Amino acid sequence: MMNLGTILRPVTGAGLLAVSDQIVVGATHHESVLLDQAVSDALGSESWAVRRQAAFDASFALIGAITKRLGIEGDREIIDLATELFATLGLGQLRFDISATGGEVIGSDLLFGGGYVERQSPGRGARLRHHSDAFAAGFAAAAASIAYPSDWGSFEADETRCVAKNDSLCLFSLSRRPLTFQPGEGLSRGDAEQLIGPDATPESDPIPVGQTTRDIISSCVASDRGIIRISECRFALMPAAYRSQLTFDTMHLLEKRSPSAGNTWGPNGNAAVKAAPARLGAIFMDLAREANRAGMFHIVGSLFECAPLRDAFGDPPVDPHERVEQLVSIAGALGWGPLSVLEFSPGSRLVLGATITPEAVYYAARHGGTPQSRLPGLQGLGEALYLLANDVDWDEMAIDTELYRRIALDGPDLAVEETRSILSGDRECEIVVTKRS
Amino acid sequence: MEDSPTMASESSMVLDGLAVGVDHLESIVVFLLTVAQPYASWTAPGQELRPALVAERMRQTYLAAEDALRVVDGDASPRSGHPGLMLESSTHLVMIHRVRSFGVAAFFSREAPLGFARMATRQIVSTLEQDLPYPRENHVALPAPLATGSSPRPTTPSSVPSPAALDFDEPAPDTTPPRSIIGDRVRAVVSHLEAIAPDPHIVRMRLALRTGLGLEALVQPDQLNSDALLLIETAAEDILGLDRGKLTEVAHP
Repeated sequence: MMNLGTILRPVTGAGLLAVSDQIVVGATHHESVLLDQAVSDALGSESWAVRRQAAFDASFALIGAITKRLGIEGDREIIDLATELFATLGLGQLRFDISATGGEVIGSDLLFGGGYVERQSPGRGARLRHHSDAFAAGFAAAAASIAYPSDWGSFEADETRCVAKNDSLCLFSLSRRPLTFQPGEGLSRGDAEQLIGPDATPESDPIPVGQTTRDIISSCVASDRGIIRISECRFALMPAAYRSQLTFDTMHLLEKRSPSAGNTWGPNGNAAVKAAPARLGAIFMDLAREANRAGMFHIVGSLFECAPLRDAFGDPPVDPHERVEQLVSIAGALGWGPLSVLEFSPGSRLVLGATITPEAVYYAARHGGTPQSRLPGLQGLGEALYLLANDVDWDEMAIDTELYRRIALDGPDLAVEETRSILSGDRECEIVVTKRS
Repeated sequence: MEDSPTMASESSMVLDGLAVGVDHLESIVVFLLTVAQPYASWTAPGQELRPALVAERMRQTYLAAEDALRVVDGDASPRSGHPGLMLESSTHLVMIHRVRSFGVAAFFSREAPLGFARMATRQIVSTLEQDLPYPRENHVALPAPLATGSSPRPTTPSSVPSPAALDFDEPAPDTTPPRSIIGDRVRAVVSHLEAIAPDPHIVRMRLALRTGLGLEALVQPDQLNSDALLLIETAAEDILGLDRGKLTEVAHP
């Protein structure tokens, strides 16, 4: 298996990461599962189609870019490339048994289904009611569609068994979808370069901790089962287009729903009056923010306390300002863009700046500018960095799910505000995290 | 009579947010019960309601109805709450409630189902209970009984006594809505979820989103009906991965 450094490339001037020409972000099973869960809560049975389509579009763009650049054309070669790519990115293992007319794909140790099972703790668990591996379904369908192109349509995958539903394995059935086929656009370097513009301030070199973190990530190698771990945290590279398309398509679907469609009639003939769509959209964005807060808390915290970093730089700094600078630099190495601490009052306030973020690139490319708050991922990252800087005793605590649960329940009540955004014409994005008294 | 509201007669309180997503709602008028003046209003585009006239007539109607009910129920107590009034015509349903020293009138088109109009009005009123000022903040002297002659013919019987002067030195009455069986059941379901569900700190948001009822319904569940409870229990089963009807370990209050 290749290490991530073999396929990972920086997007010059933007502080972002790319595989081939597609922008990717460092992710964990935490926010991957939580974001998919939020979409399911918001859309119900519609969520599978939305998640799978986002995965198909992002995967088609990614696999297509790589096969084109390397000149790979045969169907078996393309399937083999897709299989290796999926595992190298840390997403798990897919085994294809397909032909031009369809077939089956077996998934093992998948980031979403396997990640969901991993997140269950004794006494606090739930069998999922829905299939969880929409990303793998979309990826498999995209790979098959590229390997076996047809004017009749592309492939579509349905998950027929899932470990998150207590099945023994994840199984997908592939078949042709006789519809007008529009390939997914993905999110490319060109989109980021267009948003930055030619007059952008050159990206500054990261501090030594940030550079060492980049080296650690580049050296990560997935196991034969397609798993990458950093401490107890499962780590993967996800196409930024998938997460952004999922988030914003769901949000727009909620916002567009007619108010009258929100009223349902119950069996007793009474109306269960529903909340306005705008309020439900805000709840969904809060859950999307929480998903990234949980994920970034785990991965940034795990990297901060990991042995290679501590061997190079000693124990975590006691000075809170130095500590938060290191944490922010680590987060920047995960593909969130050039981050900076604009203001930090230990225990009360953190102001985080970012000249560009993957979700901003996506939103600008697909939907244009907006005065509304559209950076839930950056907001969640800001909250995670605040908690790591202020509420973790690095001498006593290890970063794990039990610590995060304790902090989430009993920790500080935080307010987070998106005060500036490049989507509304500002020069950079700015997130303010404050502790409510 | 000048019946258009002036800047002096209405507060700057905005009611637009209360009307979002409420079908058939045509107008909301909040008026003082101490004097015939509108306090705040919202009217749907195309409607021609005049808040000042509405405030005067609805105030008289509500005070008369409240007085009439005293014959049956006695004085309103903090536990029993103030009565609600419904007027039904061939074109409109009008729901009138009291929030402290204010009246709240919600106007629905006649097509609105009755139960829906009741539920929507309760939600509007419960929001206004949080937002409307308490008596210390809007100390308004009570007017003398209306003089005859130049004023419009009163619609209330002449035997209606003047409203008793409010003593602002006493603590504000408890306006907390009484607990309901459904509200207690919802609280038990939420507590159970927070005890055993994964990620308990986001359980309420997940319930609010899955049911479509929003967070306000979970904060004040006593005004929910049985269909809303069914939505909440179904969502709880989905979150826990239980089969339908298996939410039995949650103790009934």
